[in-house]
Amino acid sequence: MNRNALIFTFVTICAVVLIVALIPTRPRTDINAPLPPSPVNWSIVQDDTNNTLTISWLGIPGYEAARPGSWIQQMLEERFNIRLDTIFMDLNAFAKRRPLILCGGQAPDVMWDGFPTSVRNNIENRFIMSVPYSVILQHAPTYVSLLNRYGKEAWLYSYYRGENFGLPTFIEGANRPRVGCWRKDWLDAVGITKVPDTVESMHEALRRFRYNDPDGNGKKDTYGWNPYIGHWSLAFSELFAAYDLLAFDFVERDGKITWGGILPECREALATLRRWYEEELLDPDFVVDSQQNQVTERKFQNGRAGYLFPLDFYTAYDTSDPASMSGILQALNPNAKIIPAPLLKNRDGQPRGQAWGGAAHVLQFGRQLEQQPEKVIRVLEMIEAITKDKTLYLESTSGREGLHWTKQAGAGIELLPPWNTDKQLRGAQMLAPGGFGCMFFYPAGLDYTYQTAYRDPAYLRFEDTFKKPEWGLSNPLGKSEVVPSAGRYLNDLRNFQMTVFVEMVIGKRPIASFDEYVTEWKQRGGAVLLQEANDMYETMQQIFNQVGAGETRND
Amino acid sequence: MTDSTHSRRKKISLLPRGRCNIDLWLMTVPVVLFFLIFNYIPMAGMVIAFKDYNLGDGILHSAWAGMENFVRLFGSSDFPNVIRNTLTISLLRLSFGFFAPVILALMLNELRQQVYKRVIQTLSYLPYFFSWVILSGIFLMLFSGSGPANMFIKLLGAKPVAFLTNDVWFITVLIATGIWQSAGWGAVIYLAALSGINPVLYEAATIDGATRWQQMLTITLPCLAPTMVTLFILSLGGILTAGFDQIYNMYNPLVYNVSDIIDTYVLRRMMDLDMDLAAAAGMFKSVVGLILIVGANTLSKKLTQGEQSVW
Repeated sequence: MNRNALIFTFVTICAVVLIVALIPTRPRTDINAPLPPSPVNWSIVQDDTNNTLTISWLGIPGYEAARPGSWIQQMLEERFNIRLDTIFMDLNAFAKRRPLILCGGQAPDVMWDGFPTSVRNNIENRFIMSVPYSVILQHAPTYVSLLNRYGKEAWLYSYYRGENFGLPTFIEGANRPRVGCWRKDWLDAVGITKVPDTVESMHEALRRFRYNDPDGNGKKDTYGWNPYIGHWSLAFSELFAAYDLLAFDFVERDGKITWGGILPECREALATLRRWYEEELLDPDFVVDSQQNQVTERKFQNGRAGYLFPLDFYTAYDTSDPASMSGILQALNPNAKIIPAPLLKNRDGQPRGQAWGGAAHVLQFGRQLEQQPEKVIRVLEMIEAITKDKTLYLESTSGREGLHWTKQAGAGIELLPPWNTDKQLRGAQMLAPGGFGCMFFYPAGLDYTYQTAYRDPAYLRFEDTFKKPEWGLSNPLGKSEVVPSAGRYLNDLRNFQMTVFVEMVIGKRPIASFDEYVTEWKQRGGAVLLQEANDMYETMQQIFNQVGAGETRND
Repeated sequence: MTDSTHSRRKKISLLPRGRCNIDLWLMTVPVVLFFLIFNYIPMAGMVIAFKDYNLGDGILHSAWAGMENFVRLFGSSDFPNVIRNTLTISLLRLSFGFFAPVILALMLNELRQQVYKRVIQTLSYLPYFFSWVILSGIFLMLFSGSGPANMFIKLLGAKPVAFLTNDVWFITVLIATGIWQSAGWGAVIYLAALSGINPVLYEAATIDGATRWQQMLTITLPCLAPTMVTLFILSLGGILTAGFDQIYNMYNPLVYNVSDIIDTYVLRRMMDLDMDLAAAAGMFKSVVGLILIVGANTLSKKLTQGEQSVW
């Protein structure tokens, strides 16, 4: 390239940049400005149920083998005079293919979404339409009453600049805290008869696991705990809960919203973890192990550590299932036994554990339905009917009694042949016995009192013994992602916080520098999030007033 | 214009001359299409960097944002650290990684046992075909506190080393494993260049009494120099590409401060569907790469009186 060509290239680039810089620009979206009015006059919208409506429906079916035209789909089509055009995706496709579908102008009529930031993006990018609270209350009042009981914070997930976009969903079981497990044979070997349920007794058990040779091989090669920190929600969360904290989420203190990770009690919890690390009770490889798939579980199975978190589904303790944690452990070591870990008690002696909260997801409606709002009404009526009619609920999730499943006295739903053995066939028909929550066509939970009649009694015993909802600590806003600036700050702040906490635990950063970390956390955008969270807390009360959900605190 | 100039121009004409060349032109069609579809047409997407991009409105109907995305990018509190990390890792890769394939190729070139040479060559470039998802799993296991590397260190009576959680050691592992993975593949080009050296030069040097070491210094390296210069200039274009897949699979919270690079930063923005900011970061990378390539090429041309340059 000669000198003239270089000068020409340079001048051209400068000119282009200058022109672009001078182009008149529109100010970025003002999050406080009211939205333009919806073109739908809901007061005159009528849904003639004699008209067959074709509805495209996108979601994650939960079965790889799910196929369009399942028995459940056909039953719903017949019952509600609709034709369902299903779009099934796994999580990977949901992240990658769904944006392409939306950008290609092919937004489905109904679309499930699990993330408030994603819902907000769909709103800002004008993919979905608003649905007034009054319309939902009119066509799905029973559903709303259950939502308000089990996951009313989800109303924030569909809220944007004064309006509601879609139908929030709930999962009753997500109000229950998560639990871990102990190696029972190790506890026996080191002379601990009472399963630890306080920070002090947990410390003692971890200490004996490290120093009292619980596996009896004569070597000091065991640790108490290999904490999994691969996801912020699981990082030391059982210990933080004992200090009444959700360290990586918003918490409520004296009627105000604050961030758990900046509170003085968080500093205390970190100091405890630091002492445990110094005493060699934590596996020093826990940071690296957490970055790899299932290494933490494998180390537990191989007898490197004696405590694992989380392990909170009852089937994990079923020794007759070779694929369960109990089954795998016993195959490796016939003497190995595990036992659910009771939640650690806080200073007031109350068990506490981190819970997601019952506020679940959002069922959104494509913006094209502004031209066919009767489809929204038909879907709301369908959801309402499934909520009210328990038989229909069971048929929408598990198939028909006598055809797909049966129920014996004192037992849960049991699938009939061939559904009970053929996983592919079961998946193709989307039969989810006992899956009381997050189904494809009814992505919400059900009243717990009704579940007791149809769920496996072993499940109910486990949940009611170890995971009582009143022991759960959950985010008062449902998910921290609901604040408007979450997309800009939240991930980076959680990463920053994780780094600082791990550095404090392993001694790379002194616990005494906690206040400096808090200052930096606020400077990096935390102060903005705190302000917005408190604003949202007030907004939430206004929403609750509109939907009849009562006070912001759970009733 | 003279006749000879006319004939020279005719020879380098890009237009097809008769049927005899149609097959050659057809052969170029897939390549041209490939570059058009995957490299040139997507360049139009760079305009997103100057827009308040809205997926629903599309590229054309989204509002212009001028330089706002770049102001946001450079104004971000994370960005200085991200740039520093990217440049540090890239420059270290360039400093150590650039010469590794050359040395490997020279060593392979000295082997006389052909079977042994081919086995070594195959083994050396085999890692290039493994994904970093697999390789990172191996290295994390190898260099963890209880891994084989530290077991060996303990056997020697020394204290274990925090290979994966200490800033300096992590970068060292990153660079070293990166070189291990790519040196064999990089050596292939140099081996091809070595095979093009006229053997007469070596014969003449042998007759003159030159040792193998002297032959390497006076014949092999000077003959390799144009290839090295070309590859160096091209590699400068990727100075802001520090190896996303390797870092993403190997880093952990204790080394975020030294391993958060432009690509991991962009990924976070993309996950929040902040496409315009991500496009601005991508464009920034490309412009810096372009400036470095043009600058290095011009410098090389000037220093070698036009003998060694890409164009």
